[in-house]
Amino acid sequence: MTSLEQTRHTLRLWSAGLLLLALVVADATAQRGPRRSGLRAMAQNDEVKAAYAPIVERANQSVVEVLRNGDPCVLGTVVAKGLVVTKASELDAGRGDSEGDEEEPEDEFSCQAGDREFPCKRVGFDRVTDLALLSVPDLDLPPVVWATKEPKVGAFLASPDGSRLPVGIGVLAAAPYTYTKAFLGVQFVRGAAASDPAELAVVLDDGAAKAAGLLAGDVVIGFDEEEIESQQELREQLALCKPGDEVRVTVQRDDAQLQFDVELGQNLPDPERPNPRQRRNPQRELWGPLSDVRTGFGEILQHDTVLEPLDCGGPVVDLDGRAVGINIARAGRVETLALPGKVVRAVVAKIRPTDKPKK
Amino acid sequence: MRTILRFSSLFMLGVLPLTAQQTPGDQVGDARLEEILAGGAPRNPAELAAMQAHVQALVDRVLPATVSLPGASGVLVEHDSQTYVFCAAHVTEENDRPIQITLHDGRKIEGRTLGADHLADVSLIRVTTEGDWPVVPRGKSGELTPGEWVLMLGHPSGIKSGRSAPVRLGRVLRVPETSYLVTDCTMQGGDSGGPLLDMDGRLVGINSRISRNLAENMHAPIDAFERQWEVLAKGEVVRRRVRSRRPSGRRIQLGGIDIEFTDEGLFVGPVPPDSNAGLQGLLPGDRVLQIDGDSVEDRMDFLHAMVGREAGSKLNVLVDREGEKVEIELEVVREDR
Repeated sequence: MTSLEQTRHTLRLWSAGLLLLALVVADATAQRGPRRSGLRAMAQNDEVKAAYAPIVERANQSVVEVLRNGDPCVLGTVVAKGLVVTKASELDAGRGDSEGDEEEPEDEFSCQAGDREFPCKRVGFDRVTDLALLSVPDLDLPPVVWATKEPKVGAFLASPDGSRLPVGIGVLAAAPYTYTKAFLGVQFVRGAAASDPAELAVVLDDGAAKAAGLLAGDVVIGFDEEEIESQQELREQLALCKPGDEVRVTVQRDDAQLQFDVELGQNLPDPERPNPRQRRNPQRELWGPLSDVRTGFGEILQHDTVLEPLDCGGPVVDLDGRAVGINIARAGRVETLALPGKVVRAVVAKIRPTDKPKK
Repeated sequence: MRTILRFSSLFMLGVLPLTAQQTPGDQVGDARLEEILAGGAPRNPAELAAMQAHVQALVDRVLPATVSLPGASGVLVEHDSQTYVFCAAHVTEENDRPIQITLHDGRKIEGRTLGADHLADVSLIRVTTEGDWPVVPRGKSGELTPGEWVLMLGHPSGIKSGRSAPVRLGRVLRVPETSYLVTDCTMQGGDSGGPLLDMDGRLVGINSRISRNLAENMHAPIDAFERQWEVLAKGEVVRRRVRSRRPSGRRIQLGGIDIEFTDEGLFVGPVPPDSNAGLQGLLPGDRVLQIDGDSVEDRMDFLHAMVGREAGSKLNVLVDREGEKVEIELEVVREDR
């Protein structure tokens, strides 16, 4: 091999190392043979959805489509006379941060029900639940009817969108739970694999790890009683904790093993991403788009309905046709999340304008 | 299509005459409920309610036997008075090592990995902590028919505090004789090793892998455990290809999949369902022969073949699968970390 060739080899190797590529099998249609093509879901197909038609009839009357500049943007649920809740971040999807002190966006919003369209404006917002409240003065639709009991795991659920068949059907995957992720406030070495040692590349200012005295370059080898051999193992231990939990973290620093008591914290804003909840992970979108804002809602109902982000904001109803919650995110290939009715009602009570607004 | 479904419903009724669950389904008779569960579609709210009651009763029975393993899932099964976790080979990987098992209620018990068959993606863990653990009965994957309803459990994205193993309801889409069961029970990373159950609550499959198509969720058929019981119980490991020489120790990860470089060539490592890559086409143990017609014999060849690939472009990979040459089309995506 000549030295030129060697140089080229080295260069190529470098580029290969820099390019983090994933191989992904093209979808089933790209596979060989006719049997592989056309593999379609059956459990949530139109034949099964048809059985839900009488169930969603009533709830359909309380669903609107929120239009942004005339285009469908997200669904909305009528919660009181002239008031609609919807998923806030979808209203500004693709326009960056939905909050902050920015000027009012120039987008025009309206609510569509059947062939009627009503002008509306935003009158409330709750950051934790990502709910927005729209005032639709001319809207004469009845408010959604809430279920009085919490659904049991395995409950059959339908997500109406105003049309005869629900836009999605599924089952309640788990009892309502609250999941707030605990954070150490560190970043691993970029490009490292999940099975690599948990070496800290960055210890974020204001983070839990920093406060406890961990340093970049430390390798986490213990978490309470558990030995940690990889990033994956550290993540798993963290997933079992809540913010505020105190844990003993053992690290390898040079030749020494040191222990630190760390009070776990919440997610920290990344300076490059003003809204830490607005993250896209393309790897997770291979089977369809996920909601931009899909974590940190507080108490949630998880169901297995396949929804598009723009199908969120509408009610999810039980077999009695009563709403158990409002769809708030498609959070994963299998995870569609809804806010329980009681949470929605509490938020609406908190953010709805008082009867006599300040002039 | 409809004719086929009806036919299979009748067939299932013949095979499973004792499935009556005495489910309260107001106007829906047991026979009609069985017909639906065995491969029919519910037609109205009453039939949905009957089905729902059946599914919820089933969940109560199978949830306690669903366990969490580090980064994955499993299910407790009893065999000859010994409790085992039935799992996927790509989860347990090595045999004869201790493994922590987290029960449905959060209790932690100990187990030891036994054998694994990477061809079928099944593996066995012996529960070493004494106790009376909740288990599920075993069914027959060979008796499943397309359209039949099934329940799947696991821990998508790993175990989360406060959340029980999420259940998913789906239907059998394909029952190949030798390969994987396919259902539309959507799974995700972390579900690997979790149980697929028929409507009698019997274990019929183990979550194995997914494709990009939401309707393509693959489960190792439970019959593989029976077929390979000796091997699994003895703690042997069946790989797709036995490597006579030691691997060079060099590995590269592509989308979560290890490509192993050995003296004998490039092999696809374990394929977890959250890895995106190879989910549908690549199987553990496949030997990579060519990428877009260029032969790849070592790490250098492989990296060269990958240089400059644009996200979204397609490439053809030729692999050797137990002597059979299989061509697989893959799409390149950029992985942000």
